[in-house]
Amino acid sequence: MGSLAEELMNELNCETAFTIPVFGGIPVPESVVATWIIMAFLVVASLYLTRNLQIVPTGKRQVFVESCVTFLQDFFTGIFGEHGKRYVPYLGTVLLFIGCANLIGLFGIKPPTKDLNVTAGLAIMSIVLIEYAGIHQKGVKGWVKSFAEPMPIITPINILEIFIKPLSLCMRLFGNVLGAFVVMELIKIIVPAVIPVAFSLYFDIFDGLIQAYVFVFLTALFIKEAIE
Amino acid sequence: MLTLNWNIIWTFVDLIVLYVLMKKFLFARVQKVLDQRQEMIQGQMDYAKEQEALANQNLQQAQETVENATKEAREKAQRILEAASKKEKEQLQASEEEAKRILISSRKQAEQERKKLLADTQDEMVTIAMLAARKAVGNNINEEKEKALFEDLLKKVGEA
Repeated sequence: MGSLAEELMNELNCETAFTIPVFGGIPVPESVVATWIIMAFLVVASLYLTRNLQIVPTGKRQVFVESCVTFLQDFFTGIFGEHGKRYVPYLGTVLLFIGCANLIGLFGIKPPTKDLNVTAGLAIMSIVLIEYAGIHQKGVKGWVKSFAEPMPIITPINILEIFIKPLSLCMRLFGNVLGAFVVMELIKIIVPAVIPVAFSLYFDIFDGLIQAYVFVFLTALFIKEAIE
Repeated sequence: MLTLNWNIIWTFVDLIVLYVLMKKFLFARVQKVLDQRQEMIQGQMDYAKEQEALANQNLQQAQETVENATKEAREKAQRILEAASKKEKEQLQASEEEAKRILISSRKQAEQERKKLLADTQDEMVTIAMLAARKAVGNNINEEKEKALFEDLLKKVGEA
């Protein structure tokens, strides 16, 4: 049992892949390398899918990419309405990134979402976006005033929410990926073959996609709250 | 693992770069095509509406033309009919007048004939009476005087 814990800790450790030798060496952790791989994949896929789009589509490729983009647009505008349309590209990007990040484990690369820095970074970006959306919609004065709503007494709670929201987003994502990983490791110890495949379908694929969905869904909900 | 450190900067940078790239290469491109399509469809619909309006206008014009033509034709027919009936009336009147005139003239002629006949008959009668009287008297007196006498007699008889 002791060796298992050690092994898990070892797996969970985010090692530095290499160091960029400028400014006294900038460490590049594994999760960042994985992120770069995902970024490259997404950009190449987008470039391929959006290559020579036509006004009257002829190929299935264009129909596919258009369906995906309009699905994302409909999904997000369904949550925060037409005037939140400008936040669709960011949330869509995050959805695709987290989805890929959670699935990349299937290809033998350590998922970047298993690194707390990545999930925390995502969550902090989300809260920045949420507050920016609030300021953009209501102006600085209106945004400050919105902390005293619906009544002034809950102002401290509203201020606390600025920290609670990203913390919960971050920890939910990280915890799910971590939990799935630990459970999968345990299953692999008990039954090394066949059975883990079925569980992998749930923990790696289904849960990974669900967490991506939940993350952007909640962010969209918070944005909706902020721009209301 | 459960350590937050400066590596979080990487996440921010990566995410912003990915966002910019995805926006440029995926969302903006697709949105552009969608907008263009929307524009094209809108344009076609506007064009169709325009055409429909034009067609309606043409139809209305055509209907008006037909109506005007029908009205004109009707008026023309009416005019012709009126003119014809007027002419007919005139002709009828003219023929009636003609007939009247003929009637009057023939009546006049007949009267003249009658008068002439009457005068002839009178003459004859005078002659006959004269002859008869001469036969009765047996001699020939002044013929002129005799005639005047008889005529006078006859006139008196006529007056009586």
